[in-house]
Parts: sequence; structure tokens; C-alpha cells
Amino acid sequence: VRHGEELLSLQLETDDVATVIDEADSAAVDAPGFLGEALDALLAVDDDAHREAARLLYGMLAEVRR
Amino acid sequence: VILERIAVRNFRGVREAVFDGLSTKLCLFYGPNESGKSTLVEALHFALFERAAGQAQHKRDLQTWGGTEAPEVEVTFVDDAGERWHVEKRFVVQPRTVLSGRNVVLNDDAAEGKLRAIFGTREGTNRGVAPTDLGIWPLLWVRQGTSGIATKDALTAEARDALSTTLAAQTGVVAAGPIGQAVRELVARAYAEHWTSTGRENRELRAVVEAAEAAERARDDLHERWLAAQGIADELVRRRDEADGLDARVRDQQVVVREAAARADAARDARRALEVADREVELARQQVEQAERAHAERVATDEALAESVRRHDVAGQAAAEAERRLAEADARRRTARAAADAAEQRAVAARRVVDRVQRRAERERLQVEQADLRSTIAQAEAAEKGVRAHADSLAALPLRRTDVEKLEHLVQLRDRARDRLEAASARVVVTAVAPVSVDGQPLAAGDTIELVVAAPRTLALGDVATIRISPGGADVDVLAGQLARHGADLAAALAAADVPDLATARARLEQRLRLERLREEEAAKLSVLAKDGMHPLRERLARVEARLAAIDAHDEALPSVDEALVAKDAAEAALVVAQAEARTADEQLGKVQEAAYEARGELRRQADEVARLRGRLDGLGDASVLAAAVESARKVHGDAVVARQAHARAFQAAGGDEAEKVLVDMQAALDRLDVRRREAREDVVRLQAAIEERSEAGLYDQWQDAVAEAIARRGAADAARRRAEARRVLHEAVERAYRAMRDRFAGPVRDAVEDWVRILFPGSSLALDDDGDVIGLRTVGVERSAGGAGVVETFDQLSGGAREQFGVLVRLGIAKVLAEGRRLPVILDDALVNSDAERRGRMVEVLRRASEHLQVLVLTCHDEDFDRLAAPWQREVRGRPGRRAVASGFDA
Repeated sequence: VRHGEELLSLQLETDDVATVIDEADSAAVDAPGFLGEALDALLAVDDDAHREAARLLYGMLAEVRR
Repeated sequence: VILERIAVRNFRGVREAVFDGLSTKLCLFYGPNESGKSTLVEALHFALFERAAGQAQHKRDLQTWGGTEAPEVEVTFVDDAGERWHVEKRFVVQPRTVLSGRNVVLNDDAAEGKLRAIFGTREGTNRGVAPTDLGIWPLLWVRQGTSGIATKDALTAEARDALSTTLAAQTGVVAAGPIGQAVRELVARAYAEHWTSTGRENRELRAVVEAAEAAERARDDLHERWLAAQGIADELVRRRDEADGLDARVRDQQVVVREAAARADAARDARRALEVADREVELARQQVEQAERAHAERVATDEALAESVRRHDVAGQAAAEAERRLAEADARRRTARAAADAAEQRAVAARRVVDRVQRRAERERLQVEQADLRSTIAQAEAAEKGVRAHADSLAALPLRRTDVEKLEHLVQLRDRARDRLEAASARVVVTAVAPVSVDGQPLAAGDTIELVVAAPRTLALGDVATIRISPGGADVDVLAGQLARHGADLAAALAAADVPDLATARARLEQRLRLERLREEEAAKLSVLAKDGMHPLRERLARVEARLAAIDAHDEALPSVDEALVAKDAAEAALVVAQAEARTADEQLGKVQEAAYEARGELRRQADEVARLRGRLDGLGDASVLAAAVESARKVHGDAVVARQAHARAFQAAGGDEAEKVLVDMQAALDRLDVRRREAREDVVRLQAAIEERSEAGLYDQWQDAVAEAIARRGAADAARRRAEARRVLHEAVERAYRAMRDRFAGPVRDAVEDWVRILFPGSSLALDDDGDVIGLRTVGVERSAGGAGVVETFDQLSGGAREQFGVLVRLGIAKVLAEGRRLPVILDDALVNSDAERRGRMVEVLRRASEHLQVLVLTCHDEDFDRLAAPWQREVRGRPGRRAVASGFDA
């Protein structure tokens, strides 16, 4: 039993990576029109899913601009 | 832009036509088909959008058929800045363009360039301008037959850009453009990696999650198995010890059960002996009761017989007394009955005397009535005779009061006529101075005679003179005639009345009146005496006389009526008393007879009872024998009770009822212990088998491997879920923002058109697609589906009429949005040919409202449908351009 708990603990530590968005970075991103509004809506909610969604949106904007 | 004036010359068959002073709101051009309305629109197009230079076919087609003159067109308009411009163009023959403004005149290319700048169009090719070159204008100028084309298709890219720019400026919304669309597509792709189109987890995501759940189930299963193997050995030891302990306890309990069984047998024997003693006691008690009952019955019957003999004696005495009273009552009754009969005979005799006395009194009364009736009849007959005599006298005097009044009137008339004649006559007074004769009548001196002359007359005064007197002239004759006529009338009336004069007539009338009074007096007397005539009186007399004849006239010595009545009353009172006494005697006799009957019955009953009791005593034994039997039975019962008490003590000494219960409880306890011992033994066998089965190696290692696998799978599933959730959140946020932007973008067009849509299509609203384009009509309330969004009929699904109305409507709305407070000319060239009159009427209302914002030019062959448009500017377009050289209507 003890061995199983250690494994679980180790797995949680490796997977529990929070998405942190740098404010300076986000200010530099130009999200026109409704994309900007979507970004604002995502950043207004402080949870993992919304932070990750915002990060994805940054990535997509950067991809499209390239 | 506002159009003010259009003029054409030699343009497609039109020699010359001028339309000026156009309204800034509504202009109505009307005329039949082929009258040249569309030519007018064509001329505007060439004036504002086509270059004048060049000889391309589409320009040569503008020439009138068979003519050589250059087609020319002039247009005056005001631009958005408020500056008025005048453009003149000539085509084919020495083509040229002149554009003149307030301070400037431009020619040819410069003029064409300025026009393109004002109208926002592009230069076309040699074959002319294409719709894509004309910006918004193809949308606003609806050519004949094009109103039914979807606005989405009618919007060129330029028009769409212009609309988009205008909407962005009006709504403050920044269109994300191509970047926005590209990002939307990426977001949709990322979403589709994890989710289905209906928002459920897709197969891949579901597989990862299900794999984690399966690994966890396998881990838990192994864990349970391992835990189970750990516990089995401990359980085996515990259960074996328990089974050994239970063996010893079962043995001890078996000894206890055997002892309890021995005690229970002894108690059962004692109980059986006790039950026999109980039955013997009960039998002896019943025999005692039986002997006591027989003895008691003998004693009670003896007492009842003695009482019955006493009552019989009493009843015999009462019967003798009753018989004696009966004889007495019968004697009293006979005496009373005889007295009553004698009283009745006396009463009958008294009543007869009263009858005779009353008949005598009636005869006397009838005799008086007979005399009265005879007297009355005699008087009545005398009165009747008088009435008849007076009637005869009156018949001899026929003169009535009216006849006399008529005679009096005629006498008055005659007297008045005579008076008037006398008044008209001359009065001549002759006084003699000396003796003289007047008409032969001598007159002494100093004498005087007076003459009344009623008719012309000549008087002779002796021999001396004649005097002619003519009185009254002609009137005297008339008056004399009247007098003679009245006199004749009077004489005729007197003759008719058979009287010599008025006085006689009055005397006769007086006599008649007196006779009438006498007749009435007699008649009144008669009516008093014989009110109903003579006949009833005579009948009544006959009845009285008949009654008198019927009553015997015995002159016997009778008392007076009062004495007879007193004697009769006394006799009847005595009779009542005697009858009452007889009834009383009858009643007393009845009562005594009843009492005697009762006494005889009671005597018989008591005799029967004595006989019955004596018979019963004969069936019972002797009293002393019965008493001895009672004593014997009581002794036997006492012995039986003593014997039973000895058996009861023996039963209690053996444990009583409790001994049996103790045996049952002890046996049950032994059974329970035995069951537990068997179960423990079986568990021991089962656990030993399980230990042998699980002795294989590796269960622990398998469990540990499963733990590691489950952790890895769960981690992968959680990560996949987090990724999927982030994509879902992203997709929702982007789509929500996009829809919001689209709604805000579409807002101005919708606002511009919604009121008009309600007029034309009540109950419907605009349907927009995802890009905000108008695609058709949404009718809410028909079907609640897709979140209550209603049913959408796309442009293509609408009928031909509805399509052209809808097309015009949306064009007006877009024009209103694009105008942004300025005015733009909208041209509708027979744009509603497929619409019925009712819909055209509604469309007129829409156009009237649209003209508040736009300059609307309507060209129609149905001007009667547009009366309610009340266009301030209306002109008829006449002529057949292309067929005739001159269209007179164009000379307006």
C-alpha cells in the first residue's frame, strides 16, 4: 500500500503543471475584434481550463500571423 | 447624392425628353410597358458610370434605330458635400463629357475621373463597366426583373466592403477579418480533436478515460484478493479453537438434558394421578347437587299445595257473594224499567195535547189572513178599475203641452206683427174749428177725432177739402202681409187642435194634466196592494182557504197553548229521569254479572292447581328418604377431595409444569451449541482448502504492477480531459464573442428593415446566416425548434412575389445604412411585377416610410397601385422608344 501511494504522489507532481500567462506577453498580442473579446473573457476566469484556453488562443494567433 | 434633373436626346429612339425638379423624396414615373421607363434608367447609367469615349457596340446601340444623330444625356445632381453638379455626355458621334460645378468645368477624362470619385466607382474596360466596378450602385438601382435576385448575390465585393466599413463605423465593432476567420477554423479543429459536433466526448477521449477506469478496476480487484489471502490463516486458527471449545460445551449440556428428562417423566406420572382424582371429585360433587335438587323440589311442592288449597277456599267464598249481588241487581233493574215505561206513556199523551192546541192556533191565524187577503183584493180591483177609467178619459183629451206651447208661440208672432203694423200706421188727429164732416162723419166745433191710417186713404172734409194720407210707404204693405200670414198660421193650428182659441186649449191641457195625476195615484195604490199583480194574491187566498178546510174544526175543551206546553215539558223531564235510572240499573247489573263470572273462573283455576300439585307429589319420593340420600352423597364428595389433595402435593414435589419447560429449554440450548460446533468445523475445512489454494506465489507483485498501471492511465486520462476542457472553453468563448460581434454588426441593417418587414410580412423577422448576411425570413411561432428560433424560409424558398418584395426591402435597408444620414437615390424599375395588388399596397407604405431617408424613384406601369404613395413628383412616360422616332411624352 505504501509503495502505491508513493507512485501516485510522484505522478501528481509531474503532471500538475499550471499554465501561467505573463502579462507583458499578453499585452503584446494583438487579438483583433471578437478574438480580443474572447481572450478577455477567458482571462477573466481564474481556473486551469480558462488559463489553458487563453494560452491556446495566443498560440493560434501567433501561428496565423506567421 | 440627390438627382435633380435628367434630359435625353436621340437616345434609343427618344428624340428629346426632360424631367426636372425631381423630388428629394419620392418620384413616380408611370406609363405602360415599352413606354421608355427602362430607357430612362439606362440613360442615367450611361451618364454617371460609362465613359463617353469609344465606339463599342453597347454604345452604338444607344443610337435611335436608322438614325445618325449622337445620343446625348444630361444629369443634374447634388453630391454628398452638398455641391450641385451638371454632367453632359455625348456618345458615338464626336463623343465628349463635360462636368460643371459651382467653380469648375471639367472635360472628358478629368470629368470622368471626378464622376468616379463622387460615385465611388471604377473605370471599366472598352466593353463597358461591370457590376463589380460600380460599388454599391447595382444594389440600389433595381433594374426591371432583377429585384428577385438575392441581396447576398447582388452585393459585389466592393459593396460588401463598403457595407462592412460603414457598419464597423456605426457599431464600433472591429471586424477581425481574415485573421479572425483563420483562428476560428483552428479553434474548431482543436475542439473537434476531443468533442463531437453535438458537444459530447469523442471516441478517442472516451477510450483514454475508459482505459484508466479499467486499470483502476483491475488494481482494486487484485488489492481485494491480496487482502483476502492475508486474513484467511488468522481466521482458520480462530475458528479451530472455537470448534474445540464447543465440543466440551456440547458434552456438558447433554448431561444436563438427560437429568431434566428424568425429572419431567416423574412429573408427568404425578400429573396423570392428579387428573384421575380431579374427575372423581367432580363426579361426587354432581351426585351431591342431584340429591339436593330432589329434596328441595319435594319441600317446595308441599308448600305450594298448601297455598293452593287456601286460595281455593277464598275463591269459593267470593263466588257465593257474587251470586247474591247478582240477584239483587236484577230485581233493581226490573223495577226501574217499569217506571221508565210508565213515564214514557205520560209523555206521549202530553205531546198529543200540544199538537191539538197548536193546530187550533194555526186555524185562527189563517182565518185572519183570509179576511185580510179578501179586503186587499177588493181594494186592488177598485184601483185597477180607476186606472182604466182615467185612461179612457185621457184618450178623449189628445191635446198635449207641446201643442199648447206651439199655439202660444203663433199668437205671439201674430201679436208682434200687429204691433209693428200699428206702429207704421199714420195717426191723424182732426180738430173741428167749425162743424164739419169727416168722411161723412159729422164733427162739432171743438171736437177732435183721432184716426189710425194703415193704408193709403183719402179723407173728405165736408165739401171743403179732401186729404190724401199715405202712411209708411211700401213697408206698410209688407207688414200687413206678415200679419195676415201669421193670422192664417194661428187659425190653421187652432183648427188642427180642435179648439176655438188659446184659452180653451189651455183649459183642456189643465184638465188632461189633472186626469194624469189621478191615474198615477190609482196606479201607485194598485202597485202597493198588488205588487206582483192580482194573480199571486188570489193564489195565496186559495192556499189559505185550502189549509183551513184541511184543519178539523173540533170544538173540544182544550187547555191553552202555554198550559199544554208546560204539561208536556214536565212529562218529558220525568221520562228522562226514569230512563236514566233504568240505564243505571242496567249498568250495575252488567258489572255484577261480570264480577260473578270472574269469581266462578278463579274458583275453577284454583281447583285445577290443587289437582295438579297433588298429582306431582304422587311422582316424588318420600321427604325423609330424600334427606338421607343428600347426606350420603356429601360424605362421598369429602373423601374424594382429601384424596386429590394428596396427589397434588405429589405432582408439585416432582417439579410440576416447570419440569417439562426446563427439559425443552435445555434441549434447545444443546441444539444451538451443536449447530455452532458444526459450522466451526466446516469453516476450518473451508479455510484449510483456501490456504492451500492461495499458496501460489506472485499475488502481491501482481497487485503492485496494477497500481502502477492505474496511476499511469489515470494521469493520461486526466491530462486528456484537461486538454479537452481547455479546448471546449476556448471554442465556446470564441464562438460566443463571434456571435456577439455578428449580432452587433447585423444590428443596423436589422433595425433599418425590421419595421418594414413587419408591414410586409407580419409575424416574420430577418434571418441572418453565420456571417450576418440576410438569407431569408424567420417566422417565429410556427414551430418551436432550435431554441425557439422559429422557421427560416431562405430567399430561394420564397415565392416569386415575396422574393422581389423581400429583395427591395433589404436593398432599401442597406441603402438606409449606407446613407448614414445623407440621401441616396434608390431606383425601382417595375420591381414589383410579380406581386399582387394587396402586397403592392403594403409595399407603397414601406416606400413612403423609406423616402424619409432616401430619394426613391419608382418606375411603374401600374400607377393606380401607387396613389397612396402620394409622390409629390409624378410624370407620365409615354411613347415607344425604339419603334418611333419621337415619343411625345418625352417632351414634357
